Amino acid sequence: MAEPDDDPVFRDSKRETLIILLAWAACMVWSVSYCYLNGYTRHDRVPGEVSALLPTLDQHDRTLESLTTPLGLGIPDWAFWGIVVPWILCVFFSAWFCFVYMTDDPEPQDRGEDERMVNPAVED
Amino acid sequence: MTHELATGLVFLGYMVGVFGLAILSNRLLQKKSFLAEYFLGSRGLGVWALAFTFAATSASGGSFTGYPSLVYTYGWIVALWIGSYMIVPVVTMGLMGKRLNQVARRAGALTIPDVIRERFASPGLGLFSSIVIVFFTLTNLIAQFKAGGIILDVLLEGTPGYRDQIVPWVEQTGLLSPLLAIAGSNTGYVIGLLLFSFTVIVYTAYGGFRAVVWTDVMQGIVMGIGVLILIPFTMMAVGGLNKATKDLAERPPRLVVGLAAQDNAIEYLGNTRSDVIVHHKTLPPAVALDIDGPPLTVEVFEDEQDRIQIDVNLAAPTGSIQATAQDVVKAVNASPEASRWVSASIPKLERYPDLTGGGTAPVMDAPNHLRPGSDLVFGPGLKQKGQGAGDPFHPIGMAISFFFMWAISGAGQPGTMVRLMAFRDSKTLRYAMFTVTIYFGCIYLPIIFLFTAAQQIIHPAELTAGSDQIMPQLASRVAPWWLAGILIAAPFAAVMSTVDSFLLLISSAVVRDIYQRSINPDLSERSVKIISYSTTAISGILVTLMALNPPRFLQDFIVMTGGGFAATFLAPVFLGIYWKRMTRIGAWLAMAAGFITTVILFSPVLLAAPLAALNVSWRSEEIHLFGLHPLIWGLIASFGLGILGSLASPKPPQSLIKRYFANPEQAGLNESPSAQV
Repeated sequence: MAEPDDDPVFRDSKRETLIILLAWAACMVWSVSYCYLNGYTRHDRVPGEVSALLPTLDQHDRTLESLTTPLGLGIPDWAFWGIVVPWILCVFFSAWFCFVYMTDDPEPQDRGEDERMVNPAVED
Repeated sequence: MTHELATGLVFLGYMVGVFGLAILSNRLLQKKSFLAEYFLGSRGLGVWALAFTFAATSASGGSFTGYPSLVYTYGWIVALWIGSYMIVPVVTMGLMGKRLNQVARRAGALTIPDVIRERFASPGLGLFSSIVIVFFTLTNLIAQFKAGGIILDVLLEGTPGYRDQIVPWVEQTGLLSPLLAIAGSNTGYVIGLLLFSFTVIVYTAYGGFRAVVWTDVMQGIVMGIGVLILIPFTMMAVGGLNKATKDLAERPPRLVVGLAAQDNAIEYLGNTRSDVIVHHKTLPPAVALDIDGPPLTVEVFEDEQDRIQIDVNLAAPTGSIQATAQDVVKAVNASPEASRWVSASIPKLERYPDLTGGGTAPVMDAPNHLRPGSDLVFGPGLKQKGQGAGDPFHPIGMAISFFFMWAISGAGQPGTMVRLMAFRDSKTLRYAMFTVTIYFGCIYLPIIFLFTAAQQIIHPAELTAGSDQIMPQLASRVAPWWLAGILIAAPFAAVMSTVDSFLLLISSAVVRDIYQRSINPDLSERSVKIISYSTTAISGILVTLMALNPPRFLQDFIVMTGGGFAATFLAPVFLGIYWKRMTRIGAWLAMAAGFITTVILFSPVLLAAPLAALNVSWRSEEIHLFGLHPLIWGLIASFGLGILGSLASPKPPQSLIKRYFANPEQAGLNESPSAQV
């Protein structure tokens, strides 16, 4: 729980970390599930593995005849929507995160956190 | 100009650049506080330096050898395998960057063991971290040095006078006899290794962290530009990616064994879409004697998984008549059972127009799988070689695991974390994070396009030293000499940029964490300098000697280095900087649980060789519980026990919490960290 004495860098970093973890989880859920459902030719359920926990997915088995390459780019449809498009969105997310959301904290030396003051190993 | 000469020139230019940067860096070293500059660049990294040292350290030799090779071998499914790189820069740099940098400054820490020791006020934890780092880094370095030696040997191969004059001269003079005795008489490899080691050791030891960072910037830019420029040349050669993907998808099931260069290459094409596995086996001499006519037989049967198995049994090499590739082709096509499923032929290659199949028929250690082109366009990508031939390459458990492997595990690597302690301010971090996002997007995505298309340009039988060669092969086939030179040298640059960081990591662990913090805290500046330079150099020399002929057990440890590091260090550092309640006991438990879990799950790999020596047969792959990689279980154990252990133990001292979590006015920053506990 946040306390009044908490350092602002600590507070901001915690908030930013949460956003990053959510973004990572969203990427994983979208890419893995989209690619698995739409890009695999077989969905065998293997005992003792993650696939065994999923319902039967035979109807999602891909055939060569169903292959499309959106926009004529030569990228298989599942890789286009499952990897390439989210990758481009991640670039926009990264831009938003780095230039809009993430805060600039005071310079470390202005806060008394610079090397000479606290590093016992540094000799002048 | 030939590609070989161009590679030599690029390599030479590269060496001049590396040593130049080391000299400049050393000049700066003389003007600043030595330890902080030598191991951490005085926490002064700017945007470009942080971005490229981060990117180049992450992009090891594998990015330009193993990764293109996987794309070439398994096709588009590798897009999912590498997919988490879309978010890797934000996770690995942003998850802990700002906060770790702050805690390291407040602790006066120059290394990750420093941070752990100060945050938990525990010299024991610091020492344990240092030992783990030294052990894992040392083993990994041996593999990287070996890779560097091999790459350099291949690079020098085409240099005029190298193979026909320099190598024989070295052998005749006996200059390297003791080393050759250890290495098993491979002169080319020993020369490559010594040159590689000399370069890396000198510039790393002399220039320190800043030389490593500047070299990384140079390497990163060169590698990135090289890959981007290769795209138009490759796409022109295949008639566009759309055509390449469609041609690949429609290709019939295929298996290629043997090498065009040895005139023993055979191409099997499937007549149906059934799963077919082919195995070329050598029969024991007694059995071989019973074979009449051509020295081979062909057997066909269906296995328990409904796959068709075709065994080509070749007479033992001791027999007077040995089967040729052409004999195999004839025998397979003449067998009614086999030709129902496959047709065999000697490949027709533009580059090798005179193939007749006159070479000795190739033998396979394990069965090989005939794969349709559609398998390279869709998942899960079936394994082609080995005992697991025909098994899925990227099942869903692995797809999930690799999002942890690259992104989360990347955040837990000490080599990565130490870079987050070195940037100047949070603005630098923001800009660098975005730069790395763009950089990885420009490297890793195009490599998928390039090397799925490469299937249409380079036949597997042409890859004389395996598919790891695919990048230099593609470059020398489609690109002009100067670009081929750059791309052939790229794996070398990538290995170097990883090795230099590791070398410094070992050196810092020994000098700072073990010697200065635990044995002799009253070292003078002059002594620190001498010990730092010499430790880096001695570590490098030691690794070079071990890389001459690495012990088998070390190779086995290497496979668990990345996962082992993350499972050991991520939880204590992450929880330590974000959770006030994290205690010393919790940190001990987190580190031990992560480390032990990883070792247990990797034990089949570690124990396979010793057990084989005792004639005990056991699995030789790591244990994938529920189909998930050991890293995930290591992280669960580490975070789980770290949290439980902290909650079960007394709260950490208030002074410690204040120092690392309170604002500067309350933190007592003017006092030494250890004085507060």
